[in-house]
Amino acid sequence: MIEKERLRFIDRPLIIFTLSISAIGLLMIYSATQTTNINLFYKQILWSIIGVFFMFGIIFISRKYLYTFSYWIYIISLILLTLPLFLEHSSQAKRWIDFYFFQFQPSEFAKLGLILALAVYFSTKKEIISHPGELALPFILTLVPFLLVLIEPDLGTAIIFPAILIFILSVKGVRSKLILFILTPVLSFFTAFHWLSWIIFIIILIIFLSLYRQSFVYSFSLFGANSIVGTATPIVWRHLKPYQQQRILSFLNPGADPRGSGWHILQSKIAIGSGGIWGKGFLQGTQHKLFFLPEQHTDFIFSVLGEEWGLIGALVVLTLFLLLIVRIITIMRSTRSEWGIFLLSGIAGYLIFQIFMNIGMCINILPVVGIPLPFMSYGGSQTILSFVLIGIVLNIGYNRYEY
Amino acid sequence: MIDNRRVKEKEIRIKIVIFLLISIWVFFFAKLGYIQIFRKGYYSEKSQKQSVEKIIVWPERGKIFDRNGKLIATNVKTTTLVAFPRKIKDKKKTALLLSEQGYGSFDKLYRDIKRKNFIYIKRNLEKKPPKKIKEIEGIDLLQDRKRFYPYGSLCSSLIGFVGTEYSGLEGLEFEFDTLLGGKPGWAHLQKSPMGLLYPHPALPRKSPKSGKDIALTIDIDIQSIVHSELEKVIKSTSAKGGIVVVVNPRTGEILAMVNVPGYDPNYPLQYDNKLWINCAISELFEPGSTFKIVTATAALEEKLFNLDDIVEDGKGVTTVGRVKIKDAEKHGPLTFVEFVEHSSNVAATKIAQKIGKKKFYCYIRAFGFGSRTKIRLPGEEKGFVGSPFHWTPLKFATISFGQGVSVTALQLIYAYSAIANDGVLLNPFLVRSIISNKGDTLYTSTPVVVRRVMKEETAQILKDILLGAVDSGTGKFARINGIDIAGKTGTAEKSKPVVGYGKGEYVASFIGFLPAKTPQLLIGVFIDEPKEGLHWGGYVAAPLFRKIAQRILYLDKYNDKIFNDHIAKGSRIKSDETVKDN
Repeated sequence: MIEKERLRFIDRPLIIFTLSISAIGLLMIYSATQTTNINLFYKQILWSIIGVFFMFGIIFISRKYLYTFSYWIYIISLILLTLPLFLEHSSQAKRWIDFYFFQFQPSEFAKLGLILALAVYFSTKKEIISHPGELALPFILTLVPFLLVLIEPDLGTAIIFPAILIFILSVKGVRSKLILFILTPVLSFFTAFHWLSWIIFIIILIIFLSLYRQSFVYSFSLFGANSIVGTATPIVWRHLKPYQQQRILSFLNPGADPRGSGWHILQSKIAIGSGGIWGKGFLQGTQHKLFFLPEQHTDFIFSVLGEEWGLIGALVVLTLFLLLIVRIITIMRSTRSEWGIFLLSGIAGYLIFQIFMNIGMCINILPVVGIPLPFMSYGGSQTILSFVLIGIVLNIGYNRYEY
Repeated sequence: MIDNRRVKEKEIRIKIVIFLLISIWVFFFAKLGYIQIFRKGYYSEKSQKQSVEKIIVWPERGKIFDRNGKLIATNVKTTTLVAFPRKIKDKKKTALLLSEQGYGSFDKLYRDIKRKNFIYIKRNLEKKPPKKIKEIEGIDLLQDRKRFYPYGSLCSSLIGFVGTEYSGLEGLEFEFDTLLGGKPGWAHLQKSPMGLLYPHPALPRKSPKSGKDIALTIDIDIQSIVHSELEKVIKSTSAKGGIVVVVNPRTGEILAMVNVPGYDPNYPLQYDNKLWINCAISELFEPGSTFKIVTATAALEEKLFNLDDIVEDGKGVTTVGRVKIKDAEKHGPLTFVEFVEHSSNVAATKIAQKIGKKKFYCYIRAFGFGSRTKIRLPGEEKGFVGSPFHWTPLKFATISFGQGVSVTALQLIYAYSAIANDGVLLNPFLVRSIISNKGDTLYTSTPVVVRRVMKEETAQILKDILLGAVDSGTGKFARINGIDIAGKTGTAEKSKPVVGYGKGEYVASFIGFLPAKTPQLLIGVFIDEPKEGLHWGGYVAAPLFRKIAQRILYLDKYNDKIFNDHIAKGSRIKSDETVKDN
């Protein structure tokens, strides 16, 4: 039942930002695929239309269904995630389920599943998280899709799952003891690439724990967690795919291997840099037209934008993304339901992570991990998911005064 | 339900998140600004460098025609087998396969495929490569061009040839390289990461300027007659080589210029590079008896002798210093006319002594000996005459009958053509006209007079004397029924740098023109070291002259032209009428 008066609760600025970014994205995909495979552009139009339908449809779905089906959606998404592992595949990467003309990417669906499941879980916890036992279930909920995607193997997509967890946790609030428990193993992970740095880190940790005066159990388990991560990291590193290792290493020094994975970054920088302030003009880019720019219609669509529309175009899109996220946070502020807040924080976290990882990768601030840019990169599952998430945001906003 | 503390905490947290977001936004903006404003020049240049390649666009090289518009040198499209090693997957196997098919040694191919980005496997393929080679990824066929000479070795050293880079290396191709070659243009092409090139309309380019076509004075019909006849004689006499030049004495045009042995300019590298030389202009030899016209001219011009003065008493011997000079044949007392007809060395010596060194030298130079003829061909020699102040009496004596000076065949031929042309020496020339690629004639050559060597009356007298030399003298084997031929034989001993004369190596020659009174054709024949039979010019070169002249006269165009004035005589030559020898 739709009350006419309530329709003003539908957040129009959010819809405008979303549709503007999508429109710019379509123009860029047209430019990127114009000389090679224009069919991809037509397909992307189709995905966008389907996505917009989903977006508007979800606004009017009763929240009850969304709430009660959350865990089910999560479980279905996990089942779908395991399917590609059993299906015979021509390509080496087991990322897709083949439909007639559509390759379904279950990892995208799993992101939605995780956001829904975590939001439901944390909405049942009234107080700030202070006991590690309370984190056990959300950790498991995150770890399962994380590992399933990691073995596909798709390192870039897998990182998003813990990122979503961290974003929701930061809104929920966690005791500093626990934050320490989460943060120090991460530092262990990074320092463990060299034994000397890790030893120094552990010594600092021991000094800190002796001064911090916490219970013996806490100190011991924190120390234990760090030791495990520190010793496991070199072993895991050796088991990473060479291309994944290469990507992480080439991030540190992109000029070293211009034809290897540093090639991606270098070409992206050349494309963006040669665009200058005003850009080369729509359809005038030379870098992507001549296939120097790899994966130009998916992961490096922002570089096409930078080349053709220059700093001005990049700035416009960057600002639109910022406004989009700030808009979601504004909706979150006025939302009364705890569940809605966690849902929105998960969605905002997901978008922040994807957008800034992707653009950061294109301008060589972050490593190349193969994350698409929401609303701009080519991809059916990814586009539809992004619109569905905005649909959920609009739904929560529509019902913002309900508990 | 909501306590104030938590609401406040939530507000702070949201503010922190928004602050962080804006920080990231600023950071990204700063990085983008750095890349797109401060580093724009650097990245633009990089983008240009890796995506644009300048290539040379070669112009179409001008064609060479003969005087009747027949193609002598042209361009043909060919295919060239190339490799882009970056695209080749199995480099070792590919190199092995190519070497099996005969495209070079495995080691070299494998080394090139490993190291280079682009290699020519074989240029201008003669037959298509087998399918299994064409199918290899990274092996490609490209369009190429090749200079093609339809007449092969017929014009060899005259036309020359071009190198693989399409620039002229010898002959006319070298001399007129800038004219034929045109001006190369350039274009910027877009380059893909695989190294493939695409044209792009926005990139600057400069079209090449096609080369100009050249029409020669050469008549390929005469050239082929001369070539086949000369080859026959060289074969039958086992001579080292031979030169024949046919000119129009009235204009100075060269109608044919043949060196045997020659080479096929389509495949110049398969021949010894000594064969690339155009002997008619580059090889020096001592002219022998043919040089006696200089002596005769000087004597007549200076009015030292009447035609019926006895210049030799019939002894056939004279002494210069301590050296005896003898004539080859025995003869009675000789008049001035008979001296040339019988080619007496003794008479020449005596006449020259009367002329004097300095004056004689002036006549030698006036005929063009000792200086280049300015025919536009590379490698022309100017010959050696020396200075009259350094001539010993013996040297002076031998020069009077053509030994002791060195000349080129072309100089000698043009000296005779001066007589044929009533005493006026002309510049030889090969280029009749230059035609732009649109078909406009840009330049037409006209005869260029060098100087008057003798008075017209003198030339008339000499013509008569040379007519007599053919009719009843040493050149009788050059006679053709129904047409007057003037000419002179020569049998020059070759001097070797170390051993001197007397090794039995000769250059047999005959230079003659016809019709004797109004010359239209002048043919110079030189046979180098004839071995079988007699080496005398009269026996080797004169018959060849006759054969060539006859065959040229069978060509309607010359038959008409030459006999137009003589039609009154009613003796058109159509059949192979030969004069009985002796």
